[in-house]
Amino acid sequence: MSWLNRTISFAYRNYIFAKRSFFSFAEVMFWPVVGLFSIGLMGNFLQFNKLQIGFIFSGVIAMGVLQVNQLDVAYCLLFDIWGKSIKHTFLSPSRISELMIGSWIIGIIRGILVFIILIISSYLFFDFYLPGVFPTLIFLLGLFLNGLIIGMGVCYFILLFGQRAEVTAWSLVVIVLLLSGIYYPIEIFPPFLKNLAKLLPLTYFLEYFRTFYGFSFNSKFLILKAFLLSFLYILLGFFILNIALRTAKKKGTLIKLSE
Amino acid sequence: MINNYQIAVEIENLYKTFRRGIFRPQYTYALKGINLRIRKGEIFCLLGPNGAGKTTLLNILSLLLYPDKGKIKIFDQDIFERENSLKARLNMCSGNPNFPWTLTVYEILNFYGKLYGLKGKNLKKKINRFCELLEIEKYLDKRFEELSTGTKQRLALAKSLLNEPELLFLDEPTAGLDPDIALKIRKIIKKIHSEKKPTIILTTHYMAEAEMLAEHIAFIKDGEILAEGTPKKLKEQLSAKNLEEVFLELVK
Repeated sequence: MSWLNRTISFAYRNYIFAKRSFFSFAEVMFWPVVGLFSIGLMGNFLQFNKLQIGFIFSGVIAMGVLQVNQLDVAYCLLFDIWGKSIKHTFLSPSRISELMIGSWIIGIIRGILVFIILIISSYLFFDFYLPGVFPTLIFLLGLFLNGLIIGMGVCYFILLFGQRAEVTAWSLVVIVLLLSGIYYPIEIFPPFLKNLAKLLPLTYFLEYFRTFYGFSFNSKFLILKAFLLSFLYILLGFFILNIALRTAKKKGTLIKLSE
Repeated sequence: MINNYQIAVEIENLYKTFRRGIFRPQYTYALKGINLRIRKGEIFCLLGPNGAGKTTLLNILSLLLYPDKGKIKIFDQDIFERENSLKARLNMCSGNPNFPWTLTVYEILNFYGKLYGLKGKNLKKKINRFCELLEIEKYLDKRFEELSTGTKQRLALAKSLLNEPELLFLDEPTAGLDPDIALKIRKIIKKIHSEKKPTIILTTHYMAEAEMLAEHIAFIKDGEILAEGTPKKLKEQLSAKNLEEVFLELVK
């Protein structure tokens, strides 16, 4: 059970970092709430009805939860890079999957915190309601799976291109959200972007959640597509991360990240 | 086996080149055909000037860097085939150590100990034992960023001992330390070696350190081994009084 021990250790390390960092507090309490209020107040001004609020707020919630969740996965490398201690991690018999999953566990806990804060605030101030327990759980699970995929993507770029790729920890998620139809249906995209959006599992999770607010979409088997694509990308993610690690060891990037 | 000694590390024809730049690439030939055999249980010292290739060689042996060409066996196993099982038997301590700043000494040792599969009372016992040996027990609750350079170095050494490695890499473990702290660390290395007899590969450019610790020495310069042998043999071969003279003679 060494793998479990190591996975829990990585989770515990992320927990300590989160507990001691002011930025971590802001990531959970400040930025998501600012996002929610700016969109919510705009909705009030434009006199959105309840269904429109449901559509828009599902995007706001997705953004808040996903941002925090994927950041935690990316932090598994970033904390080590900022502390110049990455070589100690890879010197040990740990696998990259243990590193990712351990950090992701804390991402899930922080994501749930963001979710609770956003749900309470949007209910109290903007009359937003959740469609029910089951669709909400499916949506949340979908967000966490997508957080893992995006975090893995960030780690891939960091291993390949070094510290200069750390900017992807804050930018990749925004690109994915924009393509998945964060505040709009993907039907408004030109064909190329629409096809690209159909390759993203987040698109289907958002569409699934929005059906409970009275919106219908052209896609069939939304949930099936969403989960199949998510698991496919996660498997692919572990595979390419191992390749990226081998490349980093060949090019010497791993050593450079420790200097 | 060499003369009834078991071999811990066997390196054959090892090459490593670093490439910099995309359009006009520049190449640094860090290792040029290294061949070495290191006996089990000895302290083997790699001596050489800055940029000689010592750290590159250690990074390859510790599987942090892959070579372009060459074969390496550690404890008779090809390191690239048995990467993860071998990693559990190795550890490394380098000069100018770095760990996550916000973690305390205890958290750092606890975290890395767990990565090596240690847990519970066994891990706690080892943390206490090595902290006592390295005299850092009073810093257990201090964060890494609050420690002095000497204490950071002793912490790095404690971390490298947690899994009681059979092969320990010490990459300039006394670099940048005050002479009294450096001497203390050398004595601790000697004590650790006399207790459990791990194979230690040490890189340094302090001749006094090599003189005090090494049983075998390889002089390395520009990625090539210039000479190899016991300190006594090397001094005799080059009619030198000490290792410093051997070094100066070889790098001429």
